[in-house]
Amino acid sequence: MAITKVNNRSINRAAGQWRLSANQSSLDSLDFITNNWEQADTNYSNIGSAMSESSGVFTFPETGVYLIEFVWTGNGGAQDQTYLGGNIYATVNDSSYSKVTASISGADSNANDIYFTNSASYMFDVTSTSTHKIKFAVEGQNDGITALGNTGDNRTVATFIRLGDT
Amino acid sequence: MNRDYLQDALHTFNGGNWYGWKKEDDEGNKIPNSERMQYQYIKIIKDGATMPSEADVNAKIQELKAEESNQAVKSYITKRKTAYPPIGDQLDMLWHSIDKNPDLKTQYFDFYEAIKAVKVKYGKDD
Repeated sequence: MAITKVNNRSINRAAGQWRLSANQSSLDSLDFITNNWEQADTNYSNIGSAMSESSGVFTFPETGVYLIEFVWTGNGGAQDQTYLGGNIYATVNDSSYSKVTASISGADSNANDIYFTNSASYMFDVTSTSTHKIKFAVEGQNDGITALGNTGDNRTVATFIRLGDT
Repeated sequence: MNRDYLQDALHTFNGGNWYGWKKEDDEGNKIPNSERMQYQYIKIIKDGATMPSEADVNAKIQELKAEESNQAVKSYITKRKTAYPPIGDQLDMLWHSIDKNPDLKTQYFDFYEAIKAVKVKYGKDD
């Protein structure tokens, strides 16, 4: 646990970064990114307690208020994509997920295999580590989207920073 | 961004989304980030998926490169086709170029005279 003093209050600071280590292809719009998440380890290691991940579901190590940043780099595939985006989904009951951040950027309607990047941000008050979880999804005009992954550098990446107590 | 041919090739096997990369070698040593994405460090993450041979993966990479090259050729052919003026306009430009040059008139006599005969028969004032 990393202890930091903010305004004379001690908080347990934690920060971690996860990335897609390999491309995930053939994603339909609103599909979750479920494969090949890994803790980034390029000149970096986690601060404090680490998040855990299984099939694209991220679980928090302790309660608290977290800033979540989701940046994804992808390819629109063979079909036209007038828009492409990345969404953050959260659950507070470990069951039903709601879209809590939708981030859509413009793409090209006449260019196939267009590359793009997109970012989304969300602050989450995690009052329970067993019920409050996060997933990430892609969104586009059409299906056939690829989220780019690499185990050497960050392409599709999620950052979790614990800002303070709940 | 350069196309990642290795990953694009791998996704053509086993229905896609079947592989990941090892972070540690068989002795538990961390594989440097820049060296992980090689055939030898592929790990299977999908039930029922089988490892394609390295030769098959390399063949697929060459196939994708050739496909991309063919598409690039098709792309310029299509662009030119739509950008050229109509054939009639092209022939008219050709005829007027010949009309300005006595040597060309002789060289392309039949073509020049055949067009000219029509122009004379149906003048602009008709």
